[in-house]
Amino acid sequence: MITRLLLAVSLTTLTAFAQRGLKDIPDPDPVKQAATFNLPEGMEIQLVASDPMIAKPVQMNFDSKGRLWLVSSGMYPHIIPGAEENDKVLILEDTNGDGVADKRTVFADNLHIPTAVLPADGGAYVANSTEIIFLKDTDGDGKADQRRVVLSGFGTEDTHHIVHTFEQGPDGMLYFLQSIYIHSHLETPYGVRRLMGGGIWHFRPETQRAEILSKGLINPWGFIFDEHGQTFATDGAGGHGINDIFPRSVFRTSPGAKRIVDGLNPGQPKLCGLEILSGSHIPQKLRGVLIAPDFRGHRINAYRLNPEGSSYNSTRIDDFLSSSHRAFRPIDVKMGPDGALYIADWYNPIIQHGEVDFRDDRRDHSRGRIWRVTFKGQALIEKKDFTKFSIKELLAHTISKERVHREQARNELRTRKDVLPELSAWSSELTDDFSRMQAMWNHQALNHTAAKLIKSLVESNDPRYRAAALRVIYHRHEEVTGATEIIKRAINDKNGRVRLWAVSCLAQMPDPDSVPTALQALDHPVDKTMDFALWSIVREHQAHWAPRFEAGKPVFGDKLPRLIFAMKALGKPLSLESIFTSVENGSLTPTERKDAISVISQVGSPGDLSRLLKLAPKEPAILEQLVTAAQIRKLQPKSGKGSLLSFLDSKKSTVFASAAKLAGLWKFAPARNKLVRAFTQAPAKRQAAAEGLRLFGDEETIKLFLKLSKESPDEATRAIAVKELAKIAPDRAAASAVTLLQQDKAGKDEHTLFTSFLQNSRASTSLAKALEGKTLPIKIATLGLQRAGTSGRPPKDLMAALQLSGKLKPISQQPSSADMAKLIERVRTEGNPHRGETVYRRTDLQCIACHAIGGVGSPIGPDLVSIGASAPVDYLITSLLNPNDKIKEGYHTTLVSEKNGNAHTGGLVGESDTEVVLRDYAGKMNRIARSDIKNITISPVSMMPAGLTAGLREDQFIDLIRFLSELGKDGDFKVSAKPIIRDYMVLRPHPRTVDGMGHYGTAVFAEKFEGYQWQTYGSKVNGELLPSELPKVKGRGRNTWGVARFGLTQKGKVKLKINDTYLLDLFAGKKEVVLPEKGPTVIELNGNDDPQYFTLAVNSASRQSEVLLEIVTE
Amino acid sequence: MMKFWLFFLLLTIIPVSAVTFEDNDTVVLLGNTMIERAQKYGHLETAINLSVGKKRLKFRNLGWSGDTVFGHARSYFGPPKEGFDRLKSDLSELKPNIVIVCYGAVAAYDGEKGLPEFVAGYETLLSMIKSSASPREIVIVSPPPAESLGAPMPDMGKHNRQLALYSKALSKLAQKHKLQFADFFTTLGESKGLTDNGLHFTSEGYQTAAPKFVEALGIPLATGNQIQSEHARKLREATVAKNKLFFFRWRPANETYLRLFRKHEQGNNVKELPMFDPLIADAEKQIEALKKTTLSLK
Repeated sequence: MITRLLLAVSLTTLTAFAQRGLKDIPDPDPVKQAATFNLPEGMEIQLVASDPMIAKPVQMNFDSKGRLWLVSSGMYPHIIPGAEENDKVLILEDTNGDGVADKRTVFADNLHIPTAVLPADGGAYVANSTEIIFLKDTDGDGKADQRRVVLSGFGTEDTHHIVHTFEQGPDGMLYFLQSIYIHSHLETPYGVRRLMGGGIWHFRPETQRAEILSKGLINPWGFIFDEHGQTFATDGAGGHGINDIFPRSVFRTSPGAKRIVDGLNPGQPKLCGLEILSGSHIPQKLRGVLIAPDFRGHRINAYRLNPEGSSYNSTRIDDFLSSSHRAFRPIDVKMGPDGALYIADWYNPIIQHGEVDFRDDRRDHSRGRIWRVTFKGQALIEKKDFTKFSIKELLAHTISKERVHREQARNELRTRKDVLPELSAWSSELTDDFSRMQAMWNHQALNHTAAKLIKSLVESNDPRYRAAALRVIYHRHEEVTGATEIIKRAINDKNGRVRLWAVSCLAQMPDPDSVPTALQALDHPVDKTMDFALWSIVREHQAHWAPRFEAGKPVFGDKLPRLIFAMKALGKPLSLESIFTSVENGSLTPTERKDAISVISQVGSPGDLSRLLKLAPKEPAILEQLVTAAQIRKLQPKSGKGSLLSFLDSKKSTVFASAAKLAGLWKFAPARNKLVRAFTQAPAKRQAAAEGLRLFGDEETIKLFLKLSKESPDEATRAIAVKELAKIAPDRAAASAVTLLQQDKAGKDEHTLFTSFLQNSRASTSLAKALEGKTLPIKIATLGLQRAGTSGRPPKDLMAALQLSGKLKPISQQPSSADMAKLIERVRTEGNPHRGETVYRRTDLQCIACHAIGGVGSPIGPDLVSIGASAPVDYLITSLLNPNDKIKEGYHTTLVSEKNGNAHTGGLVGESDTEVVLRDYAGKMNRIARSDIKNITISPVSMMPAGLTAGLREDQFIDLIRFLSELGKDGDFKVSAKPIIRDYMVLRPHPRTVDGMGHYGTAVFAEKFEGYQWQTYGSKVNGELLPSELPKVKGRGRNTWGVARFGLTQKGKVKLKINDTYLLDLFAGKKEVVLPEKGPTVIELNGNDDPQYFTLAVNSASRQSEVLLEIVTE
Repeated sequence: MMKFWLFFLLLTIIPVSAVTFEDNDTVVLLGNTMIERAQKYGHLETAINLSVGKKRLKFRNLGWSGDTVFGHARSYFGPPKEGFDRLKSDLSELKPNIVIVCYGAVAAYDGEKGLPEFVAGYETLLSMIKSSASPREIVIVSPPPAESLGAPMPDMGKHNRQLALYSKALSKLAQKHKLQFADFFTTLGESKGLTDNGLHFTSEGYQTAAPKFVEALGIPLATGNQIQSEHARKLREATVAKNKLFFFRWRPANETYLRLFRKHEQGNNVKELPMFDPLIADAEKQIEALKKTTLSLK
C-alpha cells in the first residue's frame, strides 16, 4: 500500500511537470473529428468504431469471416510499476452491414504493448514485445484460451520499434518487421538468426523457419505485396517514400552496412502503414495506387509506381485524404472485405515517446478510431464468410478478380485438411497466367511446390509473371528440378526486374557457378539496384567462387568487366595481371579503363602500385588513387617515387595537390624543397603544399610552420601554417591561433581554425591555455563555443576559456515552465509563419545549411517537412534552445577516435573493412582508415549547435517557431505533391560576366564554363524562388542577375508553367527559349535530368517578385 | 538412433553428486531461450523450490533468447563484449549464492570445429562469474536434446549428435574446474511432444522436463502430491508473476531512453525501476507462504 501511495505521488509530480503547452488539445468528439476531413470529390468517410469500444489501435487485419482484428495498447510507451499487463486483441464485427461495428469481442486482454495481429491458422499471431505468440480459442467462447510462444528474442530497446507489422504473403508465410534500435536473436531449428537494427523477416509456421528478407530502414511500419508478389515498405522515420524490398536489400541505418540502397522517393513525408488500392469498389483511376499515412501531417499520401530497370519509379500524386484535426493519427490502412478502405486512427495529440516524456499528460491512452472510406456511385464488394465454403469454392475464389477475396480464401485454405489433391486437379485446368500464378501461390501457401506451374510462368510473355515465378524459386529452388537452367536463362532476360530476381535466386545457391552466372547481368544495363545486388552476391559468395579463381581456373571467361566488378566488390586482389595488360595496351573503353585503374589502386600490392605510378604521366588521376591507397590502405609504391618531382612542377593545381600529398605521405625527402617554395611563393598551391609538408610531420616542418605562423606578412599563409601545425604540434600553434582569432572581426572563422583545434583533445586544451588572460571579439568567441559544443566530445576547458575571453553568458537556455507557457501562447497569437520562413532562410542562422524541407536542402539534419504537424510547440522551442535535449533517431553524432588522439564527429555515412566515412557539420565527408581507429561510439551530443538563435530578436524567434510549427499542417506550409521545381544550383558572382554580358547578353550564363562556381539553392516551402535571395551576379551598369540552373527528371516532352516571365530569360542547354515579355506562360521543353541543363536568369536589380516553375501534368 | 543413445549413456555415467542449496540463497538461472522461457511458465523454478524443502530461495532468471557464453544476445548496440559486461554488472549487483548455467544449445550448431572456442568462452564466463559474484556454487547444466517432429520439420539427429558432443565437453569442463555438472541432456533423454519447434519447451513440456532438471541437479524431487497440488499451481502462478516484475526491473523496455544514448531525453524515468523492488519483495513473501502450504502436504 505504501508503495502504491509513493508511486501515486511521484506520478503526480511528473504530470505536473509535463503540463506546459497543454492548451493545444483538440476536441475528442468523433462527430467533430469527422467534420475535419478534407476529402476528394466522390469520397465518403464513416466512423466504424470509437472509444470506449476500442482504444489505441496499433495494427489491424481481417479474418476469413470478414471480421476486423486489432491490437490495442493503452500501456504504450512503458509499463507503470505495479500496473497489470492489460493490452488487448479485439475483434470487431458489423453484423447488420451498415458499415458500423456493432459487436466487440475481447479475444485477449493480458498483453504487453502488442504491435501486430494476424488472424490465421485457426487463431491469431500477435507480436507481444519480446515475443511472437499464437493465441487460440479452443472452446469456441470467442476468447483465447491457449497461448503458445512462436518466436522469442526480439529486442525492446525502444517500444515504438519492437517487432511489428504482420503481413501474410501470398506464399503463406508470416512477414514481420522491426526497427532501428532493436536487436533480435531468434533460436530456430536451423540455427540462431540475429538481426541488428531494422529489417524484415519471414517465417513459415510449418517448418518454423525464420529468415531475414531485408535489412535497415529506420522505423518501417508499412509492408505490402503487390498483385504480382513484389514487396514494398514505408518508413515512419525515414522519409524516402516507398522502398523497393528485394531479398538481401540493405537500407539506411543497418548497423555495419557497407553499402545501402535508397528508397524510391527521397524527401517525402515519413509514412506509417501501406496499402495498395484494389478491387471493384475503388474508382478505376485509383486502382493500383499505393497509399500510406503521413501520421505527422494528419493525412494519407498516395504514390503511383511504374517499373523502371530492375526496380521502380515512384511518383507522389495528390493526397488520398487529409484532416485538420491534430489528434488524427492514421497509422494503418487496409482494404476491407467489403471493398472499402479502413483506417486505424491511433488518435493522439502526441506521437511516439522519444522526445516527449513517457508520462506526459497530453499522451492519450484511451482513445482510438477506425474509419471507413467508400466512394459514391461505386458498388461495394459482397462480404463473404469463407469459413463456410468448400475447398472447391475456396479455390474458385483464389482467382477472383477481387484481391480481398483471393487473400481471404487462401488464408482459409491453410486451415483445411487434404487440400492438395483437389488443388492439383484444379490447377491443371487453368490456362491463363494470372490464374496459374494464383495456383502457384496456393501451393506455396500450403508449403508445397508447384514445379509445373512455375515452369509455365517463367515462359510468360509478361515479365511480372516471370518475376513472380522466380520469387517462388528463391524460396524453394531445391524442390524445382531444372531451377539452375531457369535461372541461367533469367539472368539474360530482357526485363531488368526478372534479371534482379535471377541474381536473388543465385544468392540462395552456394555454388562456384553462382557468381559467374550472376555477373552475366553486366552484359545488360546495370542500374543502382542491380549494381547493389551484384556487389552483394560477389561478397556473400566469396568462399564459393574465389578459391576456384585463385587456383587459376577460368571463372569469368575472357570478360574483363566481370573480373573488374568482382574484384572491386570484394576489395581484394585476386589477379591483376589481365587487368594491367588491358590497361597498358589501351584496349579498354574510357569507363572500363577508369574502373580498372581504380580497382588496382583499391586492391593492388606495393608492386602493383609502382606499375600504376608509371602510367600516371598519361593518366594523372592515378595520383589521387595513390593518395587513397596511402591514406586508407597505408600502402606505397615499391619503387619509382622519383617521378613525383615532375608532377610537382605541373601547372595543373589538381595534379600538384595530389603530388604534394603523396610527397608527404611517402615522406619523400627530395620533394621537400619544392613544397616549401610552393608554400611561400605560389598562393594557388599554398594550401596543398602545406598539407604535403604537414604529412612529413618532422621537426623541420614544425619549425617552418612555427616561423611562418608568426612572421609571414600574409594572413592566409599564417592561418594555413597555424592550422597545419595544430595537427602535428598543437601546443606550439595555439598562441598564433589566438592572435589570428583576435583579428577576426567578422567572426566567421573563414580559416576554420576552430575545426583544426577541435580534432584532438590535446589541441583544444592547448588553445584553451593560450586563451588565458586574452580577449576575443564576441562574435568569434560565440562561433567557437558553437563549434566546440557540437564536437562529439565537447572540450570543457576550451568552452570555459572561450566564455571567459569573449565575456559570454552561458548559451544554453532552459526556460521556466511559466516562461515556456508564455512563449507558447505568443507563438500562437503573435507568430507569423511567413515572416518566420524568411528568418529560417537567413544564411547566418544556418538552418538551411543542415536541414531540408521535403527533400529540398541539406541532408545533414532531419528533414523538417512535417515537424510542425508532429511536434508540440514546446518541443520545437526546446530543440532550438538546447539541441542536445532532443535528438532524432538516425541523427545521432558518431564519434570516431583515432589511436593518435584525433577525434572526428559527424553522421555515419558508411563503413567497410578498411574505412569509416563521416559527414561533418559542413557536409564534408571524412574518410578514416579502419586501422587508425581506436573506437567508434554514438555521441549524446547533437550536431546542431546550441545558441544558433541567440542573435535573434524575440519577435523573430517567435516567428521562426511559428513557421516550424506550421510545417506539414494543412495550409501554406505543407509541401504539396505538385511537381514544382524546388532544387536549383545558383551561380556565384564571377568577373567574366560583366564583360560577357556586353557581348552575349544573358546567354553568357548558359555557357558550360568551368570557372563558374555553383551552389545549391532550395525554394521556399511553396516552391517559390526569390530573386533577392540569389547571389548578385553583375551585369552591365547597376544591373544584377540571379542565375539558377535546374534539371527535369521527366522524360520526353514536358510542359513547364512559369508564373511570370517578367525580366526573366530561360535557356535549354545553350539555346534560349523564347518567352513572352511578361505574365504567366506555359512552354514545352524536352526533359533532361542533368541538374544543370536549364538555366534561368532573372534581373534581380529590377524584379522582386517570386519565380515559380511548375510542371503541368494532365 | 537408440544405439547412439545407449552408447552415449555408457560414456557419460559419472558419479552424481548434489547441488547444495542453503537457506536464503539467491539462485541465478543463466542461459539462452530454454532458461528465458522457463520464467514464463514457472514449472522449473517451482519444482526446484519445492524440492529443496524448507530452505528459502530467491530465484533470478537471467536467461536471454539466443544468448551464448560470450553474451551475444545481451549487447544491444555494441559488440558481444558489452553484453558480457552487462551480465557481469548484473551478477555483481545480485550477488547470487548459486549460479545455474545452461549454455551450449546455440553453440552446438557450430559442431566439432566450434567446440574449442565454446569451451574457452565458457571458461572466461566461469572466471567472470567467480570474480563478480563469488557464488558458493556454480552448476554447469548440459542443454536438453532437440526433438525431431517429423516432416516438414527438420530431423534433428545431427544436431543431437553435436549436442551430445558439447554435453560431454561440459562434463569435462565441470570436472576440470571441480564444479557441479547437471546432466540435463541425459536425464531428459530422447523426447517427443515437449516442444512446438523441436527446441523449446511448451508449458506442458516444462512440466514434464522440470522433474528431470531437478534430477540432474542431484537433489531428491518433491513428492508428486506436492508438485501436482492446487497449492503448487498457485505457487507457480505467483512465481510467474514475480518473474514478470523482476523482468521489468532487470530488462526494461526502452533501454535506449532509460540508460543508453538517449537517456538525456527520458533518463529521468529510470527512477521508476527501483519502484519494482518492493513489489518483487511482496511477491516473494507470497511465494514463501504458498510454498509452506504446499510443503505441508505429504
